[in-house]
Amino acid sequence: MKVQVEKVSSVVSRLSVEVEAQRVDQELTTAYGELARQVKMPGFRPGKVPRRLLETRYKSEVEADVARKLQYKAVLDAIREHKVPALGEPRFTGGKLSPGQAFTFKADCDVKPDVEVKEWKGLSLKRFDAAVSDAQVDEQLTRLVDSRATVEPVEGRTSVQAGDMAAIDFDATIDGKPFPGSSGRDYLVEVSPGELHEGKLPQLAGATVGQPKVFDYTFPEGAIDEVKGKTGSFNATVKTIQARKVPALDDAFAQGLGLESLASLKERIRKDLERSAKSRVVVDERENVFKALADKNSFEVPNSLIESGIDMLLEGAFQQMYQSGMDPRQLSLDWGKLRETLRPKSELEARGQLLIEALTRAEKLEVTDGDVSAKLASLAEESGRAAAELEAQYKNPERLNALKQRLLEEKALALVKQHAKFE
Amino acid sequence: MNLNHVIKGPIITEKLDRAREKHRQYSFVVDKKATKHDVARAVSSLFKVTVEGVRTTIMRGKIKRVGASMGKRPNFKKAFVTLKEGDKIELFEGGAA
Repeated sequence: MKVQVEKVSSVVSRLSVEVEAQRVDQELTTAYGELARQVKMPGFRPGKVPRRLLETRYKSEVEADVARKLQYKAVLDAIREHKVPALGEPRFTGGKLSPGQAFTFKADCDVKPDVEVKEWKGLSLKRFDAAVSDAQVDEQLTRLVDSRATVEPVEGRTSVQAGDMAAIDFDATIDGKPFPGSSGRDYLVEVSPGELHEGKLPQLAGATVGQPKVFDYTFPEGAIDEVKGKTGSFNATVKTIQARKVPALDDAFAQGLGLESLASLKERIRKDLERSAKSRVVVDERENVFKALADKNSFEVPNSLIESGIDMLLEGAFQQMYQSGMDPRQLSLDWGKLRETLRPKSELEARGQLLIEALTRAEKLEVTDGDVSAKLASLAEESGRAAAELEAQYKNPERLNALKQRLLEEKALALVKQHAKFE
Repeated sequence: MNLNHVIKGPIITEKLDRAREKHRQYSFVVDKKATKHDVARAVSSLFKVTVEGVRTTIMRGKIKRVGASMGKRPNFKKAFVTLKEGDKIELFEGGAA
């Protein structure tokens, strides 16, 4: 096999490959041998069809097949032999092969560019704050209390006031005719400003329990198509008045959630908020460093790296959707557009990673076993699992490598931050 | 007999493929009324080859049963044609070789 490597640009290499005639014939023979076993031809036992008969029917398919297979094999060998830092799928040109002749073709491969980090000291970076204010804690607490609210009947009052909940029976007509969903029994609505399809019906204020109330209601834009923009005549009877009861915020409420006291609930909420703030800061800071580095050090990023980055982002997004019970296949998504919106993010990520990698090489950063065990210990503490258990998990060389890679990146990021100016 | 109606089609099987290689024997389904001379003339004019010999046989149609009803496939005449050394019929050789 003869191979010539030629650089087309900083991110694309062209491999010119020539495969010997002998190897071509050998591959063809195996391909026909395999085909003979699958083909059924009247008058012949399986596997006994002579090659010349197969050729009459399948020549072009077999040759195209073998050509493709040979191209991949040859390019993989060439990449290994010539140490081409290839990424993604190679693009082939000139793939016609004929028996008894050497097979020549060209393959364009995306390659990792030689990145040099020229400027990484003295970058101006933003500072991100992971502090959690009391107001945030309180807000979270209010939301929690609100979500635990219950609906209870109101005793000793027969006229509906704004802010109540009311269980009603209603019949409605548009131009004297009923429509889909035009009547309901024991239907629960909130008597506060809003629209009916949101479960709110302010017109009920002032109604009396047991007495029918007649009023007109114009359906807004958000209603179903049949009634949108039309005015219906409603006849509603309030059966019971109910009220939302928000539980009191006290130790009892906290105990209901399995905690000791209100103070410990607050503490818990603060901790949760702090944890998510911290992880957000880590992500923001990383992106900030990437951006600053990319601004100072420009180079071309191979397209296949960006594309695979987009794939990864999409996959992550889908996983999240699945976990929250959505099926992304049922959403009508515009794939081309979606990919286009993710492109800048993916490109920044690729750029940043290449730069960080270059930096670790230039500064000879290394991850020691001590670093790994320290990281494992801190991970164990964060997740509340036994250190030994985690260690066993990271015995897997693939996972261990991923962890080392992460540590290396963290080190490089820390180094950049050390030499940076913060605004 | 009209020579255009003599030959109905080739027969290509594993066994006949070997006969072709070893003895230059090619075989056809031919009209039941065709004689050996008819076959020889038809083959030589159709494929532009020299015929050295023809043997024929009547193949009895198989008896087939579908449920309760019996049926019989039609008989047909099979002819083996030996060619002069060096002659060939492309139809049987196959391939672009």
